[in-house]
Amino acid sequence: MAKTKFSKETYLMWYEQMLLMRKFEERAGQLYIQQKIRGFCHLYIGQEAIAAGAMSTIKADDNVITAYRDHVHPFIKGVEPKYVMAELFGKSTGVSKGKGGSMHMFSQPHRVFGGHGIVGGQIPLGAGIAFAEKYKGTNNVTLCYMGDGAVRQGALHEAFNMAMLWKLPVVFIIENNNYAMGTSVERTSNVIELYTLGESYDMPAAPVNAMSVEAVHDAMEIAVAHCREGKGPYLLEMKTYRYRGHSMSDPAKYRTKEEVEEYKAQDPIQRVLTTLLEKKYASEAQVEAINEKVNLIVDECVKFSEESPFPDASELYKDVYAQEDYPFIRE
Amino acid sequence: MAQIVKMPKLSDTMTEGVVSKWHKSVGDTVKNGDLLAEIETDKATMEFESFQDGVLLYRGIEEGQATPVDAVLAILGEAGEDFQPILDEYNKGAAKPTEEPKAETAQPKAEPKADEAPATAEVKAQPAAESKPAEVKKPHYLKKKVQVLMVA
Repeated sequence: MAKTKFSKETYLMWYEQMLLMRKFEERAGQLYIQQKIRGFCHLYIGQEAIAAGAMSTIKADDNVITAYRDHVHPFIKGVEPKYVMAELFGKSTGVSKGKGGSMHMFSQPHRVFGGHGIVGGQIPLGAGIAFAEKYKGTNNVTLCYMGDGAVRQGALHEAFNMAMLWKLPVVFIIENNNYAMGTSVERTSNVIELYTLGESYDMPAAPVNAMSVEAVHDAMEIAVAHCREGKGPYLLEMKTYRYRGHSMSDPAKYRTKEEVEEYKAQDPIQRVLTTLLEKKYASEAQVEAINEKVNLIVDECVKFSEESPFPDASELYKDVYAQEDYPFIRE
Repeated sequence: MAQIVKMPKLSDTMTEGVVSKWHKSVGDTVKNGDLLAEIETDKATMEFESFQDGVLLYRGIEEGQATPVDAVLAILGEAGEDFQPILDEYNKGAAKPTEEPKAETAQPKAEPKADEAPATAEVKAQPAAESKPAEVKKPHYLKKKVQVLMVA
């Protein structure tokens, strides 16, 4: 496959966006242990190229749905980070009005459909959103993200079958970080090249080196164009790695430090930084300016969240059921 | 300016932590991201990386001792700085009624053993030499249909 040439502006955008994701998540981790963020918290650190590579390929009306490692997916669709941080704090200014928390980032105007806590639950939902788009005759594409653990769920097969049968415009994106919590891909099935599952349904599929944002972009561009032209779904297996544990309380003793270091040596942000400097797209001073800008944005996210109020008690029953007099609700 | 490093809440159910190993001594320079201590929670032994910069001025507890979440774990600041005022002020403040005496009387645990940790911490590290992202084997039956998009 021919490698796309990327402009200076694209590299600068990737660097800034990926650095923002990394710094945002690092801060979220710190705030968690200081108990500003409670409950569950799954960080995206190490996997940034997957989100950044999608940013440069989709349009405003496209849909995004993912599982619970979902803090940065709203950024793909242009949600301002401070609203995600406020959601992590459980504040009323959060994307889900402070009632969703870490695992439930929704933004209807941005067409971000969550944030789902049930492993693999978002796979048929993603196919359903794509069905709605096809039914309405739009050419909007749905990006449906899942982890390597979710791939072992039965719902995946029914969703793949129907998506293929009805030629739904959905890109199924496996974020394969090698471990379903602490269980390695090798221990969950004989099929360890996850993209080959598409073959069972004649779904076009490909593996992608997701430590490279360029590779992610090129793969996404092909897959999104395929969907947009009405040719049906596409499966991409993003081979990535998370540097932190599965969640905040995971000491990650199931893997070696050497393995983690091996992946950190291929860090997607570092790679883009090297390109920026080598091709003289940016000077050291310009890079420093971006780093400072990103730190300021994250500081602003925290300040905004600290200063926002918690939801009012009257919000408790709102947005739970569409039917207002649903029998379970007693005032 | 000296700053207090509190005992972090490393799991949702953690109420106190035991320092099973200090990785920095008083006088050492600590940078954001440096491993400060290994902390045994109710679930597992976690590595605690500092998110502050400074010289380690004070360690609140010794190895093997427990202290509640939010109690003083350490103090970072500039070399030679007097941290006593900030320590006194903190201990006078929020953490007072129940936590303060507990922090002082915490019994040193006799050598926390690795086998005391819960099962999650005991899963053996698996060498995953075959899981590098750059090495993708393409099954023969897929050769026609699959576009290989790997970029080095």
